[in-house]
Amino acid sequence: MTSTVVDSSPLLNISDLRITFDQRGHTSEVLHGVDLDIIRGESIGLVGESGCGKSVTWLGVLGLLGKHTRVTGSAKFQGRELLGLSDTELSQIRGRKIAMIFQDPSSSLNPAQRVGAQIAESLALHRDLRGAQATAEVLALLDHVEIPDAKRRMNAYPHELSGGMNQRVMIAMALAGQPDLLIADEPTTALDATVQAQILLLLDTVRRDTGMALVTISHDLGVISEICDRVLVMYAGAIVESAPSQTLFTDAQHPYSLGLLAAMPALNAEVHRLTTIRGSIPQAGQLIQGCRFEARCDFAQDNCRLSSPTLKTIAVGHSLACTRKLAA
Amino acid sequence: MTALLSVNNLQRHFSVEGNKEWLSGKKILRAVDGVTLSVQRGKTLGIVGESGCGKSTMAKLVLGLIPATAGTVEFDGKPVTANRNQAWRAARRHMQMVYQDPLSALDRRLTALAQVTEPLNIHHKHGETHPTIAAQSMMRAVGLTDNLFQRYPHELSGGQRQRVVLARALVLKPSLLVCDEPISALDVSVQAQVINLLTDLRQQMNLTMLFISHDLRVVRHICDEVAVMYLGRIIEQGSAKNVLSHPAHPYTRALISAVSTPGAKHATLNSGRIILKGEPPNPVDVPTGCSFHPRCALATAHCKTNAPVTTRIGEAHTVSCHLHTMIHHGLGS
Amino acid sequence: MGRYMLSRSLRALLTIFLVVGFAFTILRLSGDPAMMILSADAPPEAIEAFRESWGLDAPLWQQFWGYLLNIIHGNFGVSMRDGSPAMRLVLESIPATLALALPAFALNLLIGIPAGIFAALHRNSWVDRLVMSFSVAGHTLPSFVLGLLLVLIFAVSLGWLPSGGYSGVEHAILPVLTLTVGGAAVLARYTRSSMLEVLGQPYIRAASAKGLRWSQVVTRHALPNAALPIVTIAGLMFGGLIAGAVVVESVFSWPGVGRLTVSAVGNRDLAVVQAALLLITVSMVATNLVVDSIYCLFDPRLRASSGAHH
Repeated sequence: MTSTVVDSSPLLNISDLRITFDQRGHTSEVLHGVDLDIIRGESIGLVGESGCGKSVTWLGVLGLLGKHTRVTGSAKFQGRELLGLSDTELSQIRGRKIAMIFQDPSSSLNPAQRVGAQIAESLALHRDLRGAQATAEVLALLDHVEIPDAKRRMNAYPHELSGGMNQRVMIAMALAGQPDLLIADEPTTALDATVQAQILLLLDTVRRDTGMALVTISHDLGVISEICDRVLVMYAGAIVESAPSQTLFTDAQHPYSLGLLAAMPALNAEVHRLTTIRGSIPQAGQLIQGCRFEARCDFAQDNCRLSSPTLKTIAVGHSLACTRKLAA
Repeated sequence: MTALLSVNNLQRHFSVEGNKEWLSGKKILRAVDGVTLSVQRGKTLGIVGESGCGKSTMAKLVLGLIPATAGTVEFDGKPVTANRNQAWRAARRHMQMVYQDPLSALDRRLTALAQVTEPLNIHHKHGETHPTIAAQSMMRAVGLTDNLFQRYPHELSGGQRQRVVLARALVLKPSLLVCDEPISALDVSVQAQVINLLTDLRQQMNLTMLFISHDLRVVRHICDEVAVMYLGRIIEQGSAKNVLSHPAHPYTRALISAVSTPGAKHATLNSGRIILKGEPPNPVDVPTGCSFHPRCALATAHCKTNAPVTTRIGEAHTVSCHLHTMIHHGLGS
Repeated sequence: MGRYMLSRSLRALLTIFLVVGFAFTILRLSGDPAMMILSADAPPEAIEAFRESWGLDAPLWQQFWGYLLNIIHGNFGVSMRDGSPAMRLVLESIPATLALALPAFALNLLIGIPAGIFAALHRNSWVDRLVMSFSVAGHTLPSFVLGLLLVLIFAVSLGWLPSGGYSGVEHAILPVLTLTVGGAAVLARYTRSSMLEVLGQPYIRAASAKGLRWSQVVTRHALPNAALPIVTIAGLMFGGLIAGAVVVESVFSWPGVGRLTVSAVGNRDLAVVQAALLLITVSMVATNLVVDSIYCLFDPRLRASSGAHH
């Protein structure tokens, strides 16, 4: 199963994406100009801590952020601009071209509706399948995501299933529309370790089987390294480093990336004192003149405070936003 | 040297409403089903396991927050009960707890300083340092700057809140600190800070800790010994190094292989990773024999019918698994 | 489920018993029926005779016991004024009350629920604020004040509608309006908060992410989940409408259960008061039971008990 023509035009091209929240007169910019490209079939990971914007980016692109937000910049999916589309137009894209699954699967499903019906809703919406055809496809999808005893399980309510099961249901629901891009927002955070392993394997298998692109959002570098070819590290609303995952773990350049890697205790290494990143994450919307990481950076220089660094390529597939390193 | 904390065949059962389908009455949820362990003074024991294994219930039992159905808990030679009497309240001085969600562990309407001072006001003995002074010094010791003292919980970051919880727990200088997933709700960089803090404080205050977590990496880092729980029972126990580097029980092996190691791309996904069948089971329906057998790739007929016994397989390393019992006693292959 | 309903029914009976007992006691302790019915300057012997004939000189518990025995036999006593059976008087006044309660209830639903939904969907907009202001006003304005205000405006100043009485549809308009304003206000408020709570849930965003248009998300996922608390409130309100008509009926001289009860209390016409109270209590308790079972029926999480995991 190989494709003869490699399509390397970007599936999704995001350029200078900025998101601002307008809350009762306070405006706070939470995303400060994000650029990223995704190629068909690629698997990328977005990693960062609270407030870095890793989830908000996708919610903004899909128009799921609600009324008091402004999203500027550009997000082109298969050449078509998504920002500025109406809700009706976006609803043609959501689920059908770009699907998204969320962190807590049990609360992302309608509690008053059986899971089979919720999957069937997607089938009716995107593939016009109803009745017996839809039921057959629901069962096929549940099998695909490895839910045992699918016939019985499809009539269960979300609260009757475990977190792992519900996440599989969500994946099945996402696959129902046969999307080209799947965004998984912290797909395993709420799950037990052994179930996490199962779900990650499932996501990877599904991606390879269907050829769709996968974006995995996580705060856990370990999870990211499992299934992503390329990793983007985000901090306080901007991408600070982007590299193939092997490169990031062996040759990270940004002080924050290095800090994150050092902050994780390892299972089999000798026990040593963990290197920490001093200080704390800036408040969302806080206006900072220069580099947003400067206050916590052990290597900060004077000109780091002057202007905010932009993402520049330093090697093949490896970009970095760091005033000091780029000047060197 | 006698252990500071000693638990013997501890059990805690809950009765739950039966499933309507079967019209049966109550069923029994065996949250903790016969746990024996001990922690030496100054040591840290980690309890690991997934949801439903009973580790949070263990925390509450050890502190006397809920009564045991059977078995005993002994702290410093004296039994721990759940009767909220004078003795129980006095014992709070010596054993404290740190919780998973710092925001809900703090009173929304008290300033940080007030929260840390409160235990001192309750247990104040004449002649000791003035409560406010002692509280302030403890707060500085956990890394809180003076300008944060008068803030309310919602005005603090996650890491700062957890420090307040820690300060409040440690201000009475307890001998035992029980931590129930104290860092899971925090950002990665903050986790590192709190881990370092715990390690430092433990040393300075000669704390004995019971550290409950699902994250094996953190447990390896902080704990001297570890006990792995599954469906209310300890299935493997020993020094952290031995258990986590040379796991014996199939479940422990699966847990360890589930840990994502950054940089080990696809090595863990495709080969060598143990993927367990099925889901963490419900403690209401405990399987017969070895409770792990439905998910174990190495289960035999014997495992389905007979409960395993605890076998010592090394110095400071025990496991409850028929496989190891047989190997150890030279039976079978 | 059967066991649950049984215990609820028993508790309902207990409630009725307590209410009736309470009313019984208070009525006898708070004023002398003899004086009220016969008039204050009747000769003492006449008052004594009255008391004796009605059994009011017996100890309280004995009176209550006698009353309970009578109820079991279907005898609810007679009116002290004209001797007619108390329960019959009460039952005869029900249609009048229903003539107000039913239209008012229907209007409550038709106005209150959509207003609440609309306010929730347009949170913090001027529409929302308007709806909520009306809701607060309607909620806090006592019904008799509102009733009198309406009479003042429409009956006295404008002369469009009559100020009281019972002889035509136009007589019902103002009382129904009075009842509606309060009820719709309450319902709008509860509907709004129930909707807001549901709209804030993760599964609503997930439904949008599936590709449903917003209108589909609201009708298929938000409303069904928001409906349950609204059904509960609406049900309870209906029970309350029967009782709450007391004030409105008095203001508008509407011959329903409420007005009957009020005048009977004033006259210490004990049997009538007790019969009315019994009826109102039974209807409220019955409504509660029905609402509870609807809730249980429609929320899948409540149906199965905690052992249903798989």
